[in-house]
Amino acid sequence: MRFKDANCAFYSYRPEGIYAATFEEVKKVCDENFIESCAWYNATRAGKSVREANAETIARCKECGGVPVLRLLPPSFGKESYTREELEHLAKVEGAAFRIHPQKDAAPITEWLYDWMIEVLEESKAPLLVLVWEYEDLSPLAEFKAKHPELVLVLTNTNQWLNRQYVAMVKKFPNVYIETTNLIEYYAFESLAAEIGADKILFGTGMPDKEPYDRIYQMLYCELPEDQIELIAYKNFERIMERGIKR
Amino acid sequence: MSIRDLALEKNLKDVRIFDAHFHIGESRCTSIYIEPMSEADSLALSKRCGIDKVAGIAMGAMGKNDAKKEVDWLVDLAESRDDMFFYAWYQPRQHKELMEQIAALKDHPLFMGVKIHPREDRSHLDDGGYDQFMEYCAVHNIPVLCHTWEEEPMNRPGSFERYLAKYPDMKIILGHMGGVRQGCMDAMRMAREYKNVYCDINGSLYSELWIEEMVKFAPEHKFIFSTDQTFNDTRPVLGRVLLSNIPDRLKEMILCENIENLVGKKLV
Repeated sequence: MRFKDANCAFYSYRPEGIYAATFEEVKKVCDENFIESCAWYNATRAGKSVREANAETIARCKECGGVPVLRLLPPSFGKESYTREELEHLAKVEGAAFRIHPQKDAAPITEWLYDWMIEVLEESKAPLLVLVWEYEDLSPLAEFKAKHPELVLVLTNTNQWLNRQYVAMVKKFPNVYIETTNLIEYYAFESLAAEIGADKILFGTGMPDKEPYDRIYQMLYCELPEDQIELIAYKNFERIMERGIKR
Repeated sequence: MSIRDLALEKNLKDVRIFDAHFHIGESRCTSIYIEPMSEADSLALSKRCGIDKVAGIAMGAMGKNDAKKEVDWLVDLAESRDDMFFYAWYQPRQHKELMEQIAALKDHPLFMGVKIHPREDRSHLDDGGYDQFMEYCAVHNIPVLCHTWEEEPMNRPGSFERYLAKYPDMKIILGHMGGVRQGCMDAMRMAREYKNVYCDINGSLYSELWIEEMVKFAPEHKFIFSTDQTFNDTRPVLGRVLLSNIPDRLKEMILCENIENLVGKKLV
């Protein structure tokens, strides 16, 4: 068994109820649970600027060989967002992926808001992670994606109440993937692999806001052929998140 | 060998696992897509994943006007197998017929208790509609499994306090333990404060509580394993217990012993 986790984060402190929260703690849980590599996101909001939090993520990933997932803010305020040169460097040289928070940061993905950043993401094939939990309806995201077929979109933290929508998005548009953090639907991996293909599903745990044990057990007792299990467990991660970039 | 190692080796035959919240039957008109599977296939899937036996809830009873018929169907199914117990159903609008059915079933060897789902039955725990039912269950020591979700005012965990004020020893299983974070915290507070209030752990998936931490918030004998299938996959909650870093003794309690002690019979 080996896994690569497309949706893993860390905090600089330990919130109540979370057993492993800091980078070291989460990394230890990964090591104990056959998770060889992660796409790491710094979920700490208090006490750090976005640039500082992202810089810490990059440094951590250099230590462990993971993929940095950087919180992306639109270029509205020069002091908090990246320049075009910086973003190109992060996407192409550092091999970063990016995450937006349409609701938490009040910054949904739109042309007028993200402007040139969209071009950089499309050119670099840097994955953009979007939390489905932050949408009540995926229509705005789907309408945006229709205009940007080259943009690589990873729908994280899916919501079973939107399962008809996110499945349709993966089927209808190229370069759209889902990850497994919230795939709790009945016979989820098997039925989704049959519907959208195992090559569209990335293993993700959602640590540290939740444990990894549920998803690992689902993989362990998954009733798909071994080649499809491997795609979900780590091969899709290597193709979509690592992208052959030496970090 | 530890339970975690047995799970990793797919060798769970000596680990007793009972799913205390298992929906079965017709499920094709739900508001989310649920993978259709026959009853026999659902139960076989549970077995393949390590679950020995289940407590079935008739999916078709939920929000319907012929709940009695659905429960009759479920009882027949349970009687025809060796891996299934059953819950009866109650909702206030079918009071007479469902109370008669509960009275007739309560001494059945496969009877687990009664499931209620105020949201789906368009009723409310606070409006008095459940008063006679709760009194009957308290008097006859019948466990009540209720769908609870903190964000749904008709079935919050805290709504049971008005019944517990009258019947402090009545047996209540807080289904999904209130769902979201605040609901889980409230469910565990009630499990601490009331002798026979239990937490059905499947809803804690959404609570940002790791199981290693969650078990510190309420007495260990108050946590009950369940899957909530076929709304949810068979495996996630099972993995949360089996692969976690809690002691094996506590895993045994959560996976089977606690529900056995609650209903007062050997289940697996």
